[in-house]
Amino acid sequence: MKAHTSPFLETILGVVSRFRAQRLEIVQLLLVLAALLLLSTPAWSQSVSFHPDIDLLDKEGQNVLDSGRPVSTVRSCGECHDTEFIARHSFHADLGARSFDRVPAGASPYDRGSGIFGRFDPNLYVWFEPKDPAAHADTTFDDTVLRPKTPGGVDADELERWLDQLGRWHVGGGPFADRMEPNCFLCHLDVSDNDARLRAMERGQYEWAATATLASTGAVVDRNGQWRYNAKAFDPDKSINLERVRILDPSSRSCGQCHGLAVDGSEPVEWSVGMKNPRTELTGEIFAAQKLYHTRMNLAGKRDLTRPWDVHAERLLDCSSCHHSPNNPIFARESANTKPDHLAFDALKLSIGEYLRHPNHQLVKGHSSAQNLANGLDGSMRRCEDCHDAMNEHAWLPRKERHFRALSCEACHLPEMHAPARMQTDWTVLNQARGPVVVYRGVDGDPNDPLALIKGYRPVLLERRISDEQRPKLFPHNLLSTFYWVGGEPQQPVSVELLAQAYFDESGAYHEDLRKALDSNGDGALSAEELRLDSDAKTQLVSARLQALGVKDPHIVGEIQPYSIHHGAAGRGWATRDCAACHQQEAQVVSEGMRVAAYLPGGVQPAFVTDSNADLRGSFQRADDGSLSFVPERRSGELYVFGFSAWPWVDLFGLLMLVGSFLGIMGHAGLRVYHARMGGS
Amino acid sequence: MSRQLVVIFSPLLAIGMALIYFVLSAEQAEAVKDAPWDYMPAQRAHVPHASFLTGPFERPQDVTKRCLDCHPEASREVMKTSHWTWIAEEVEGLDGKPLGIGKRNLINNFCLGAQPNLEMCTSCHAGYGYDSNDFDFSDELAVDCLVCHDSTETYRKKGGGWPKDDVDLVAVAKSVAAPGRNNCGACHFEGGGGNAVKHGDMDGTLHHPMPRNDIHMGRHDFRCQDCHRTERHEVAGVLTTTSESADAHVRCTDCHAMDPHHNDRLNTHASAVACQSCHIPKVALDYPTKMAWDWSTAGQDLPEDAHHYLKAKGSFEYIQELIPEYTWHNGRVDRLLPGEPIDPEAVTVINRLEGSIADATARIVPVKVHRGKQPYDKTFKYLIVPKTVGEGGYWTEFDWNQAFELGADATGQPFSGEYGFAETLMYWPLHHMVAPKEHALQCTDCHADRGRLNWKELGYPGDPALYGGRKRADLLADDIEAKP
Amino acid sequence: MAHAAATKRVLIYTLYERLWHWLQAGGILLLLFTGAEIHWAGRIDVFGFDTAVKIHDFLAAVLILNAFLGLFFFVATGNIKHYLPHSRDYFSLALRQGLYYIRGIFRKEPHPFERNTERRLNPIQQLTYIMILNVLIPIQVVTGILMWTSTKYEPFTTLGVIAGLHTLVAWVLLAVIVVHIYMTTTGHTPLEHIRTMLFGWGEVVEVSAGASQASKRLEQSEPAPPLAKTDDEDAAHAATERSGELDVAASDEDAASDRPSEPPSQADSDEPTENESKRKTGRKKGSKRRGA
Repeated sequence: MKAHTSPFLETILGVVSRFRAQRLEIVQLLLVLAALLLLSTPAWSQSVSFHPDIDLLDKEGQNVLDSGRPVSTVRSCGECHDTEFIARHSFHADLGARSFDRVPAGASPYDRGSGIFGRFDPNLYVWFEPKDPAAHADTTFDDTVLRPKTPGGVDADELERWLDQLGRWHVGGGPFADRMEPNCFLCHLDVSDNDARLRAMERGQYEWAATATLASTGAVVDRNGQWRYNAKAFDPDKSINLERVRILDPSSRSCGQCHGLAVDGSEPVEWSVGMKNPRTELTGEIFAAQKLYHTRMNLAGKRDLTRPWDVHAERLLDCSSCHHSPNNPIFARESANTKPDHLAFDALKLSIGEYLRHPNHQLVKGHSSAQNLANGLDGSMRRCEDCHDAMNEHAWLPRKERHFRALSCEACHLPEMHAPARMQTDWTVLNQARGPVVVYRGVDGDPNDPLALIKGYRPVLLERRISDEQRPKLFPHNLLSTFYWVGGEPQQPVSVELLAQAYFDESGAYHEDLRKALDSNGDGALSAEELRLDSDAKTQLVSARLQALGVKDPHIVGEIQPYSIHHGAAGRGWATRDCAACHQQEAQVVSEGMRVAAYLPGGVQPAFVTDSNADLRGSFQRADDGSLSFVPERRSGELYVFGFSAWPWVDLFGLLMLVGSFLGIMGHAGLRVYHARMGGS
Repeated sequence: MSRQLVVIFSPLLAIGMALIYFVLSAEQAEAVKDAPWDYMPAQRAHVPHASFLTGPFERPQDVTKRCLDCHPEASREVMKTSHWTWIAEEVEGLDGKPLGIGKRNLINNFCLGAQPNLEMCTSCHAGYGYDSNDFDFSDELAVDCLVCHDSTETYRKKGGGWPKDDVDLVAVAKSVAAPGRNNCGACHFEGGGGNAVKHGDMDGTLHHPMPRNDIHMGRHDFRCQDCHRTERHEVAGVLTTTSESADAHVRCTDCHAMDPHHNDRLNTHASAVACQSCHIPKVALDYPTKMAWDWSTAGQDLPEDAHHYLKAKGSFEYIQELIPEYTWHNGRVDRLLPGEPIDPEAVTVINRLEGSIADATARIVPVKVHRGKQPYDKTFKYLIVPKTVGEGGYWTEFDWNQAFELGADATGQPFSGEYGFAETLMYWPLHHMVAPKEHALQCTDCHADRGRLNWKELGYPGDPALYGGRKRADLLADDIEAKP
Repeated sequence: MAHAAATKRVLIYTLYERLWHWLQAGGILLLLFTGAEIHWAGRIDVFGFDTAVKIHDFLAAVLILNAFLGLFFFVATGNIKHYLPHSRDYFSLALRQGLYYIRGIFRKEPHPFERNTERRLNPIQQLTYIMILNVLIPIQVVTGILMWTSTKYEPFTTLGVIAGLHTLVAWVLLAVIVVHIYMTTTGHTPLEHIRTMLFGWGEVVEVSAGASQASKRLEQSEPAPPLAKTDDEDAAHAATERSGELDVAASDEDAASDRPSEPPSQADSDEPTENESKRKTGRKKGSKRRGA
């Protein structure tokens, strides 16, 4: 038995002794050991990295081992790949900077662009305003002031402040090319160390961000806040040891670092709420092969949830299977518009080599109902029906074509989300951490409480047109309401700095009068339930304080943003399959509205955003507990669901006619009988 | 007049019936692929025997005699089976002559061999008095009917196969019925001398299993003979540790279709993967099973613990929730025969599972691999069996030489006087503890980056999900016709 | 009672016509029911939604087929004449029938248009059936087919409009059926019409064989002669009857007449009581009308 393990042990011990010799701190040693273990646990690694050895070069082209300067990905990767091309064709690097001040139609008045740059995101509460409001008409990126959600130095460099705020979602390059080069490692390294990257960025070491991402490989170590290279991790020729640094296609894990819970491996899926996992936070989507019952989260009825979090993940697909590079010769397909009519397959393709030199990083995408970034790429990805032959399946379903014309695949295959998702973000108040009060759906109690029962929720079905050729289809959505103060001239959201001044005194405690007004149970502390402006008096109090701070005409605004749900699909057997789910009078799947707010701050009725492509016709209903629900208009109209839809006046008219007939008959018959008797007597 | 009514309304009735037929037939649009219940053997109704077996019975043979009064063929039928003969089948011996092999004479890497130790091993023999090689295998009255047919669950056997002294023969005899899991389990769940020790996929939990322990027995309350179909006391099934042929295997496809899944991808797996590979993701769920046994450390006065070290037996390794190993297997076995020479420097595979990636009849099967270190004769270079139990046995005397000499007397394989310990390995293919389908392996369990299967070791160039199966990758030997 | 009028049991509805009627009746009722179940799925739950849809589709196909078979039958046998109004003065005749329903029926006046083998339907019935068979049913068929084919082809308008129309007409048909069933009780006895529709035989005022044959011949060979314009309403009415149909109210006196264009007989201008006694068709001795 021993013989089996000893070479491995020797390796470990060898590494240990070498590190000892270098007198590395024990923590770092353990970290490296952990990384080594992580790398050596697979008895056999099955995805092969075909990447040749690379030299890590700095900006001057010197090997970083010699210079000790940060790795320049543009130089290092640029030896073979056209990094300039890649950075130019990557909306991850651009994030809307190039389309700044080209506001799409229907955008909110605070939008200055369509990407994370420029778009007002009420969840993050960050937006740009022109430095000189009078010059609003033709401002450029440099003329604008970023309104961050936390206070900061007024004179700080705006871009730097943007990075402070949103840098965790920026891969580098684009507008920051000088400060932070595109971080190839973040996506292309199987063990990329996002925590180390964020640590470097927090310290303002933007130029080290890409290098820090290599930390988990042991090639670079974080010593006393400085990044040092570990020569042992390099080959003798100073190229990087590819046994340790496996460069691969991006895995789901890579994407999950920024986008939400996308998990590789077999560890149980666990998470905490927060914008760290935006997709999961906003919709409850989780992309993982693991089965639901394996989670340690307190998931209601999980013993019976024997489905995987996402059936595609479970069947070996990862994010890049669908969101691939548009010029990847294996995945790319020509759009029907540009394809020559006489060809079913165009063999004229980019060669693999040419693709590897110029991989287009404008990854293909679908139609999101919530974001307007890279709209030009909308619909470039394969949707469900491009891979699945739904007509060949669903033997049980009558009138398949009709169903598939009215329903997206997601409508049935995402019947339920099993994670909490945001329902309401309330920026009209600030909690002690100077963040908003957030209300989640799908969870009983505080989602951060491990004992809170996660019940999940059923998405609301809204019609959305995703292609000109097709009629609108029902898609599952989450509806998220956001409330915030707006004031000033011109009207702008009230910055968190001002709001914090309105709520907190110098010591960081709530102003006494506010605390008293909000503390409804009188225990001296403000709980999340108490932190709400649910009466005019409370609203007036905050409004007066904002006015005292110079905000003109402060008032509360509420908006509702629909987020479409596409990930976390359930396979056969878990999808909606019951005719009566839709085809009956009490069909909740069709009719069920969705709670959009647990309460209305300041009594303000929120309105839908104006740039969503979802059909938002419907009505709002206020419940006794103060919550607000949206009920889509579904009983009559274009989407006619047999057994559910009806024209009320048709039935009323018909009923009246029937009753009239009966009354007429009864009258007539009565007269006949009467006359017969009279005649008889 | 009523005739007219009939004339008028009968077409309506006919149309109504056509309508019902139309609706009902449309209901069955989705064809059922897998209909295992159609193949379940019918169970015979139980006839209470209490009134026939009134006793008194002085000796257990008296019970057998009473049984034979009504079932005159029973003993002769049992006596043809390996439960009685302990010979599983006839193979070509080392000398080219036919040789019957079976539990009676084969060497394993647990307790090594039965021949010198019959007085204890035969507590699992379906007869009375098999405590030496002189046993009369033709004595019809020596057949033990009760061990399989007792339904009181009180019938227990001791050395030589005799019932224990406290067994109430009359009560047991009155209870006879078709065998239940308890009857089979009394020996088969306790293989290797204790619960769960030998098989890994069979242990005491199967007496009263939950669905998670075994879907057939736990959810549907199967009895052993529902799969191990029994005709005239001949129980279907082959233990691949004591026989070489593939003829009498019990197969999943005895009841299930070859393409039972709703997913074509899964169904195509059936040409290369045995059902068990995915549907038995783990064994030894609740009790640990023995994974290794090193006899060479026996005889020392070390701290004792049934799961790690015993002076009499040496050191062990046990594992609970065993994740199986996987190998190609076509049902046939190359069994190490008594006296067959070994290479003591190499690991001797006692029952090499035949089949490879090139063999179209082979499938990837899950196995428990039991590794042993056991005595061999340094001069004659074959594995030897010591006498361990009873008078002069190693477990009382701790004298290997004496034990090997006594063992040689019983087996007829001479002992040179020089012994050593050689590494051996046995495959225990796993068939029981079939998990509920929700717990079966999923794609990622094998095909992900760190999956269960080592494709290179199995002979694939890489993950067949990407490279294609053995047919597409051109790995099948040309001369072997792929069977459907 | 001046004298007992001679009545005669004749086969009014042939077997096929009765089959056809009851098939349509059963089909339409089941269609209405399954339609209601589809419309209010869940609240009505007898077959279940999907089964109800299957039954509805199947029955619709059967009924459309039956409708065409029926059309063929009526055209081929010439029985379609029952459904076609003949008179130019149709509306005044319909008015007369309408007045009967709202006035005469209570006064035990005679049916203005007694049915017989040659003319089963009164003007109002004719109008009703024309509307049902040429307007309502075709609307249902067309909207139904549009909904059915909407599986493959997007209809020209929204499904909601089509389905709404289908539902609306279904309501109308339901009301019509209710009234239709009620109207069957307006025969000489309440069950008489139903019995006739079941067994085919009904009693009509005796028409001599010669008259019968004559009228048949007439139909086969000669078109109706133009009506003589007359101020006498009764006479005009009778003329109309004669012109298109058999002399329903033919009395014993003019039974022998074989001249269809003969001027109105005496009987037609008889006072109602007289008429009634001649036309009584109730077979039951104790029938109210006879007793009256």
